[in-house]
Amino acid sequence: MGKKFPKKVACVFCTGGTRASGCEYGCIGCGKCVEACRIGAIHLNDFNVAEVDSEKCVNCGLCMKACPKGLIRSRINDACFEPLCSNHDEGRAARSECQFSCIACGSCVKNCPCGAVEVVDNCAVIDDSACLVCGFCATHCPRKVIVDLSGIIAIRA
Amino acid sequence: MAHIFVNNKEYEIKEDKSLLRFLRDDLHLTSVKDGCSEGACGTCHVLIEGKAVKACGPKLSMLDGKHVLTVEGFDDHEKEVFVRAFGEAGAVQCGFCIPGMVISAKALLDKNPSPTREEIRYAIRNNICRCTGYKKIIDGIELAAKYRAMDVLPEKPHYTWKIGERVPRLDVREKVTGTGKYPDDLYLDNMIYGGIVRPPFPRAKVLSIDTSRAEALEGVLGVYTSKDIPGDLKVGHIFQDWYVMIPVGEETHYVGDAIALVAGETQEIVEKAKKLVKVEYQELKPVTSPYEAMKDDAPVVHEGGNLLAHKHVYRGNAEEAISRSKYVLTEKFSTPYTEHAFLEPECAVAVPEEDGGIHIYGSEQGVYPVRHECAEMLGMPEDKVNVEDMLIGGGFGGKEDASAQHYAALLTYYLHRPAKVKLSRYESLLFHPKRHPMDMEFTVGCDENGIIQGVKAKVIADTGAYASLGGPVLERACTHASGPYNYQNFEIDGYGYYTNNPPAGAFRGFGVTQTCFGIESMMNLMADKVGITPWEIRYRNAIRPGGELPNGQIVDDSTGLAETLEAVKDIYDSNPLAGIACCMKNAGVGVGLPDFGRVRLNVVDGKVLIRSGSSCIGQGLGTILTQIIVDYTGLTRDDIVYMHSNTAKAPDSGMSSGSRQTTVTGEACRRASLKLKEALDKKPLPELEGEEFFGEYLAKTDPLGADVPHPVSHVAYGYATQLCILNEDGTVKEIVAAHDVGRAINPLSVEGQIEGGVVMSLGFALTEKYELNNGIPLGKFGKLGLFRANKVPDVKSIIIEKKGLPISSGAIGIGEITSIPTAPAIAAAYYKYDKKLRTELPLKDTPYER
Repeated sequence: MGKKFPKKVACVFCTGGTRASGCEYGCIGCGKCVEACRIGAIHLNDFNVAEVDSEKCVNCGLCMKACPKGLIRSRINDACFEPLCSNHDEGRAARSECQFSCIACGSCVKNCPCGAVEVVDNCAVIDDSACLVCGFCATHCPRKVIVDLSGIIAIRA
Repeated sequence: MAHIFVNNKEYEIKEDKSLLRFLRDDLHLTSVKDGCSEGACGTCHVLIEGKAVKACGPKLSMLDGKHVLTVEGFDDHEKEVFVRAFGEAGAVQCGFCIPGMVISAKALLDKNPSPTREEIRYAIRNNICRCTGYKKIIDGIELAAKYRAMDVLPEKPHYTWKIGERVPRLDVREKVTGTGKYPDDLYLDNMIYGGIVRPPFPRAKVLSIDTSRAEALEGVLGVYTSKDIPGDLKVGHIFQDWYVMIPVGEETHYVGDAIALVAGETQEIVEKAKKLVKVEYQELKPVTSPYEAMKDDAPVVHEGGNLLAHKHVYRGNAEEAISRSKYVLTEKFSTPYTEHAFLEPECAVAVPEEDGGIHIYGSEQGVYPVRHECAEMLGMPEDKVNVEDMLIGGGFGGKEDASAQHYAALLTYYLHRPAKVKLSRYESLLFHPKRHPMDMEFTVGCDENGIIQGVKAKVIADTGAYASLGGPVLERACTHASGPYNYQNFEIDGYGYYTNNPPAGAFRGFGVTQTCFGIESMMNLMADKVGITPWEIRYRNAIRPGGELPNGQIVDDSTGLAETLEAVKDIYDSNPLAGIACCMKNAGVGVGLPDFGRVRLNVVDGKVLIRSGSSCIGQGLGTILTQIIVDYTGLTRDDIVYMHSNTAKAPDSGMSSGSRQTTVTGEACRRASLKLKEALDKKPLPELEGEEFFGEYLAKTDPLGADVPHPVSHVAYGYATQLCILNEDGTVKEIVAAHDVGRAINPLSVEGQIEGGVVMSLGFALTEKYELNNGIPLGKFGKLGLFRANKVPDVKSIIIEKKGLPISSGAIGIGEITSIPTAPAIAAAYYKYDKKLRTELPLKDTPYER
């Protein structure tokens, strides 16, 4: 079937923005990704964090190259549950640096039915090709870092 | 106020709970199944805003304002599309995964009306199926896509429903639309729930059980322990060694044991109460392997010793024959614990009868054996305890022993209310017997032409905590370890040891899945040694009609092993990366055991009701019995109604096990049909109102070691040759499976068994592990390594119908054999690929290794 299947899109692994306080890893709202995108598939949201429009994105990689913090990677579009954080500080520090940071508590790992989630360098990472798209990681995340990017399940009230 | 829309109706969210629980418990939309509640199985898929989502994941509070659609909410035309497409494609077997599949299919087709096969496979990758191997479900979705594009569905094909026709099964509609009921779909008035407290240690002495705090919880109706069992404290299908609950002062045998049974008004209350039962244990060191169990100073798992069974099967003089053989090879093999992973976790609902009896609705492979176990435990006469099947979501051997039925019955016994006991997926993985791990050693001697002179073998099996069907499995492993070949010097010693691991018992293949891996691997090694191809060595040694098997049986004209080999020869020769294996498997229990098929046809309200105490566990029994009746009587399909197995109404037709129903119950059905035909020759059906026609067949066989020159161990054997063809990159391209079934009553169902059995053993060979740590299973469905739809290679079925079986219209059961030669064929393919001998399962050094 080739590279186009399953559909991949870009994803910004950060969500704090103006709600963060001292996280040195996160999105600074520089807008370089927005500039780089040729089809308007990425914009800065209300919290000054870059956000991808999965419907428009064609996974060309230009925003990934442009991001000075290395926050943007590809994800499999159907694997809609992702931890939107790149903070590698250990739990206590991470907790104080942003209200939506991953504190590496491991709740997602524990609740994943198939071992698709791992904590790598104090931050949760999901292997999209192993993911069963059940959402247990997201619904059990105490920090509401793991969200449903398809917008169906509202993790944050 | 938060609200949610389900099937276009608006509901206020009063109490927050998972969407799955809301849909099932509050709205009784039971098409949405609870296969695991862990996010792993996919049976709970629903559409939310058009997207397929697992309902066990989100809570209602996360779905404010969202629109949920279940299969019940489809419009009539869409339902009909799927019923037609899935039925005609043969996509429906046990049916438990089907509503979830339909949901995922609709989510795909709504966005992509003409998907490629690859896109379909991807769309259902998170829907696990254990029966079909996915192929016919993918076919069904392809066909549904075609039908959706039409304004009006094409006319239904005309089916005669005679033997040999690919008719859609008679329960497709209820399974696709989700109206069909499995025991967990029962929500009866006044129903209570039960839950079991299990030990944290595989081996520990139970010092005390304090139920007082649990009993004090509001909504708890009772907490029962072993002292509350009215009848036998131990049950068991063959050996009664299985404690219903462990009494104070006794030892636990494994972590799946029951210590206490809690009854409450809701499942939630029961779960809370379970945590309040305080049990004091003296933890002991568990026996976790047969090698530990066999030591003189080993802890005793069961009084009477740790050796459950020693089977010594022999004919001629294997030692002598091997010693004079030109080529002699010896090798060791090892196969692991495997889990059935049927999609429907065990569940039973017991209901009190007015006359003081108890009626149990259950999911089991045999209503009579389960009734026997329940009645013994209750100390009640058997005619006061009845067991009735509902739809059953798969078994594969794992539902032969009582699992939830006796616990539900005990609650009804005391509380006189309907009682539901459902095992969680975790409990299911802990509780029911698994496939025996076996360590084997084979020695094979051949002459210069590769003709087998003699085989000697030894098997050590871990039979776990209880006997279950361990004895017969070991026996079958031993008798079939010889392979389907023409030689008469054979000797095998099999040992089954009790340990504190979960029990091992019946699992598709019944011991032969393991020993076949051994003997078939030896055949390939021997072919190399002799300098002929693995195909050739089998063709030279294959048993043929009139030949004598290593067990002494003279095989009949229906023996079609050679034909299965011939059917794959061209494919084998033209694929350098093809591995091959053969096998035979008994149909019918055999070895002198009672093996009755019984069918009673009752004429009621102008219809013929099929009453047979034989369970359909997804294999499509009702459909083929209907076809047999139509064929022999000339009635139409609409004249016939298939009734679920029920001890109160149907005669005992034995367990759905040993690939026996098509052959044994099929023959009983044929006999009943002939009687009905005789009557129909004189009067039309309406004038036979109230009459009954009974057919019985005893598959008579000789016991093992019978003092006759040529014992008839089994009334029929199926034969098969399977090929595994690899791609250049080492992934599996295709499995070709040639099966001699004598007569295919429903070829669509035969293919379904082939495809499903092969995929099951693809997992056995390449990816599946039932992980155990010191007697404690990991217990996660999502980590078993089951094959998913987007990774499954193609399976090509070749059905061979060799006449010669004098009973049952010539039909030989196929339930197990499809799962048997696959693993050795795959190992053989990898041997061709890189010349590495792989003697352990799951196979190492493959792209599938986890």
